[in-house]
Amino acid sequence: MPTELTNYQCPACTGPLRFDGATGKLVCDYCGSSYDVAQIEALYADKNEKAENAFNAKEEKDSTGDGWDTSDLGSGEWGVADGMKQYNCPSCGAELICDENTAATSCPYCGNPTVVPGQFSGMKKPDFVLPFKLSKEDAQKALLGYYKGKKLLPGRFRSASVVKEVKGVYVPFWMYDGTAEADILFEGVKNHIYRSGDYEVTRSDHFDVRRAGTVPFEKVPVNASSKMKDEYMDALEPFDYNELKAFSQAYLPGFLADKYDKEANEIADKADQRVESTAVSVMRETVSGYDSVMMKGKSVRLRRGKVHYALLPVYMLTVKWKDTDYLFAVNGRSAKTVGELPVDKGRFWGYLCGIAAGLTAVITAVVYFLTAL
Amino acid sequence: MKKISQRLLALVIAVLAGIFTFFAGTGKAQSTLYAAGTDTYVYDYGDILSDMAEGVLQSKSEELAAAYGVGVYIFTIDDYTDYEPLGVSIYEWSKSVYRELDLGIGDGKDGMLLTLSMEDRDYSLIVYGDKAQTAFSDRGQEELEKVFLDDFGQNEWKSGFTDYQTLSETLLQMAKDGKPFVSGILPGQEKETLARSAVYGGGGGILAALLSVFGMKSKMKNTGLQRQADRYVSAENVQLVIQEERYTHTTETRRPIKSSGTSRDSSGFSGKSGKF
Repeated sequence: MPTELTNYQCPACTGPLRFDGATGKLVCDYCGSSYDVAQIEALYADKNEKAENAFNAKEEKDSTGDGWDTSDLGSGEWGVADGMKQYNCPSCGAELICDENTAATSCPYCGNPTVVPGQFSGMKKPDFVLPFKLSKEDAQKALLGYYKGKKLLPGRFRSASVVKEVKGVYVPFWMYDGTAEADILFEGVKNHIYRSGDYEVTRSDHFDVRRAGTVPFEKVPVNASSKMKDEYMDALEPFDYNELKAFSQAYLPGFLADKYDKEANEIADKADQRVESTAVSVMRETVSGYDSVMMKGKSVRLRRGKVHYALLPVYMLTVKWKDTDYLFAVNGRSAKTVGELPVDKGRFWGYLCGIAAGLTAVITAVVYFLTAL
Repeated sequence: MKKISQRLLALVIAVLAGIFTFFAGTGKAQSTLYAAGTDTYVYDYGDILSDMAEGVLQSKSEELAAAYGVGVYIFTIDDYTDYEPLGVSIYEWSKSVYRELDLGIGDGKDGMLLTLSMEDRDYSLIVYGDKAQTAFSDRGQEELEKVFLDDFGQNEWKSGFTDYQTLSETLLQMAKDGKPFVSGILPGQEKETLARSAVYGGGGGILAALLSVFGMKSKMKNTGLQRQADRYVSAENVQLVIQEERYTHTTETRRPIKSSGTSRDSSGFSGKSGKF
């Protein structure tokens, strides 16, 4: 009987497989076997289809109401809340309740990595996946590296803070293709400075400089998950597009994954704004030979192209320090780390007063001696 | 009584100057105030000084002229623009006054003239002659401006002119001693200069410290929205279809060149002007 979930099992020992970023293979932690993604995909193609069908059939059955009337269960204290879904772990049989957008997770009872196949069917199926390259340990090392050079970090933060949780998450992104048609008018000024008697004369020749052209864009990413803060996801760029792969569920085991919950049209304006701003910059870069250039007018028209759906690798780390949780994100390939660190107020004021005192003495001495010259 | 006599004097001067310019063939249509060859150092046509104050200031300038051979003049007027065509600056007007009143001492016509025009609160300070230029360098003129503008800003006319004469005496004495004041600190102003330097130092130090510490603080957070998409453009695919450059116009700005010592203009004057 097909199950609703797919868990990739080791063909050798039936242990659960997980995707290993470092090797780019699915590995079994029980017997040590490893398999290419393509191998497992071929092996599980049939099973995935059956799982999807089973999931869809269950959804249909639930919606037609054919069977026991359980409508009251959902509204009670013990029912499945709105926005949540219920599954059974194919390994231990435990009942799993997770967010309706969760696409890959692991069983909290047996640790079995599991993919929810219905989340990636039809329109919901991603075009691309960027596989993880870093391990959880690498992500923690990246975080320690991020602490370096932060003069206002509390002294004991490095040693006394506790990493509560490290989650590898495939975050859904929309990627927009398109072309910006820009027509920009700049004012360029060429200055000629010369001396005339007791005066320094600056002669400025003004020019109208027009640039028009097309600027094609490819795969401008916008975070498609409301669970992830845009400030964090934007700051993690760039993602290594050279390693983008055609989507396969086989990259997901061992990580969490969400499907998008923000529609592509809903958030396209974020990409539009970036594209428009960059089109102006690109035109500006073609203007040279002037001492100063100012934009006088602009017209940017966007020809929208294809939208891609991709899953990009992000580690989310929660660090506890003095009863406060600090959230950090690490790019799952480049190790770029973003987040907000606590500021030691004592150090802040110490540096402020120390620098102010030192510089006051230096500037006072310099001003006095310059005046006396 | 004094005011009436001043008005009469102004009228007589204007008539005489008008006749003079007519016969001289300059053809100038505006009225003028000039009288030539007097030993007067204080011309209060703006009527801002009491008789006693005017007398004290006149005495002090006579004393300076006798001791140093340089005239230290004061000239006030209601509105200098009544006597000149529109567009002439108070600086240029003061130069005309200096020439027409034949101010200055000795063959070099050494002197310094401080002019106040009360209507729009314009002032000018001009210096003429080698001896005067040596004593009242650009730096010296800056110090003079400081001392009288403080008082004039509060309508303390007598006090402002007194400070002007006092500092003029100091500068003249330094020049006489062979150490004209062209840079540095005036004698007796060391503490004041140190205090002023400390104010600049404190302000600059605190500002720089704030910038530095907030720079450190900004490094504690590196999240933020992206505003550009330049990573997603391939430069070789950018196509420019219009590249036009068209000349529109030319503008010109002039800035006086500062130099140490005294910078004279082509007419031999140096000086400053502004609002008080």
